[in-house]
Amino acid sequence: MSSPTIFPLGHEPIQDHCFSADGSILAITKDSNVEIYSVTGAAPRLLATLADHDKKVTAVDISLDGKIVTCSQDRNAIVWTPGVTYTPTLVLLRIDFAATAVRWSPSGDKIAVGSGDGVVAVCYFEEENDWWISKHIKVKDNKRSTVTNLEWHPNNVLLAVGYYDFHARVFSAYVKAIDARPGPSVWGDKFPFAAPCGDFQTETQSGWVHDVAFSPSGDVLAFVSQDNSVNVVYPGTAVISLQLQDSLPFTSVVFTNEGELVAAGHDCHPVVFRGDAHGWAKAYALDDDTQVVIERSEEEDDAYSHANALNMFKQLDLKGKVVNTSQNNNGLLPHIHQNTITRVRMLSDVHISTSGRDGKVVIFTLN
Amino acid sequence: MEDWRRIDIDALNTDSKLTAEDLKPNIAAIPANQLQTIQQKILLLQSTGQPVEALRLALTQPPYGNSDSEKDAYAKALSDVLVYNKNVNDIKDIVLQLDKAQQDNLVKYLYKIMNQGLAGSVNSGVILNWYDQLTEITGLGPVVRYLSDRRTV
Repeated sequence: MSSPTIFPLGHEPIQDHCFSADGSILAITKDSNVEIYSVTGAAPRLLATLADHDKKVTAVDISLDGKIVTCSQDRNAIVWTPGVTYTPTLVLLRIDFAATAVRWSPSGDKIAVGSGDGVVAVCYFEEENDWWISKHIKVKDNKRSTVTNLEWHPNNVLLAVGYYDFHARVFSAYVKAIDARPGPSVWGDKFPFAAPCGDFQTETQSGWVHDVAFSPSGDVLAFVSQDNSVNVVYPGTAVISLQLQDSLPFTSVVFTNEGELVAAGHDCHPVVFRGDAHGWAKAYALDDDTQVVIERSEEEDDAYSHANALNMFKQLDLKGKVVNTSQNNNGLLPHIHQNTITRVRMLSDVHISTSGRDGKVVIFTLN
Repeated sequence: MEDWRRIDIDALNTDSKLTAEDLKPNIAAIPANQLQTIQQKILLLQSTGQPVEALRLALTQPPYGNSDSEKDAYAKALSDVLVYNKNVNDIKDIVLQLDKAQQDNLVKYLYKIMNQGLAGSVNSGVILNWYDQLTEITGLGPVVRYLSDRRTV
């Protein structure tokens, strides 16, 4: 296993990150801005700052042809077309609450945006007016519970959505003007727009859903939830719910292949799970015990002594005593990320990338 | 727009809001007389020196769907079992013989006992010992689940 590539991109939390398809461009959210980096050289080089949003940017995604979509708590989503500079096009979302999640469909002709009142806006480009318009998916029995994350099925039609009301749901986002009629699959036979194709809960029926993911074939769904569980769904059978013991909840999940997925979250390092329709189990943890040796600037030293102090209070709070941390890994966590991982994404067959609230983006190689 | 965080954004929206009630899992109540029998059996098992069996019985199917007063009575029976077993090594042995779901449920009861008026009749130190031993063995998983679980005891 080669050692991970680390991009330290400041101290502000990164809510979401995305690499372009060829891996040369990295987009990260930074409060109300999105920063675009070129990562082909030795160090990441800032290419552009997209600053049109006026509230916190909650998600960013890059399509196969390099178009960037961002969404924000200011209730807007913007499509940025690359050129000499990035040209913004506003998406008509028609939502009243914050936009919380955004994803390009696999073929890049549709965008799904989740919102704070449980509406999912499925957006597509309208040539005549030169703008993106949207159709809404709304769950009847879901009383405006926030969408946490969403993910497209590889067939460009189905959409998995995670909610704060403890449910993960699958819908059809079929748009007549764009999509060819999809054939029958494990998720159903007919897919009119907004048709529900699945509704799943963890074994405890509790804990909001943090993230959802489809397997590469699209026949398997995974979701991670606040009850400290990783759940895998083979449609037609009971949800496989792994209740984890000695860890904290995962906030993001992605399949690497049909029998392997990577989850990461509050434990600050990614964990690999393997399994099949008969059951899933933890395989190994990446970056489990990294002794971080970093040359620090004075400013960074400050930040680390703060981390040290915070750790001391944490221990006092949890255990009523302080274990001396100053000799123990300089008071840092034994991981590269020093705070919650907010997003894990597939980069290639053997690489995943993660972004964290510690302002880092890291590329890991899978075993 | 300075104070935008305080604007009641729901005022103009007539749709119904998600409430705590909506998140409650739909679990049927255990009939009162059946619950009584279980409680007596728990105490009987404890008094005949079988605390593991007592806890297994108590923690396998807690009365999630019952009324608050019934839940309280049930928690009281369970706390009686807990306070009888004060020895740290005993506690460790007992916890190790519970399965994962039972350990999860035990955390819920420990919090409930520490939280509510049972305190007067229960030695909190013993409950803290239980908590200490339990989390030592299980890690933080059950605690995290307790925080998000709507199947309350």
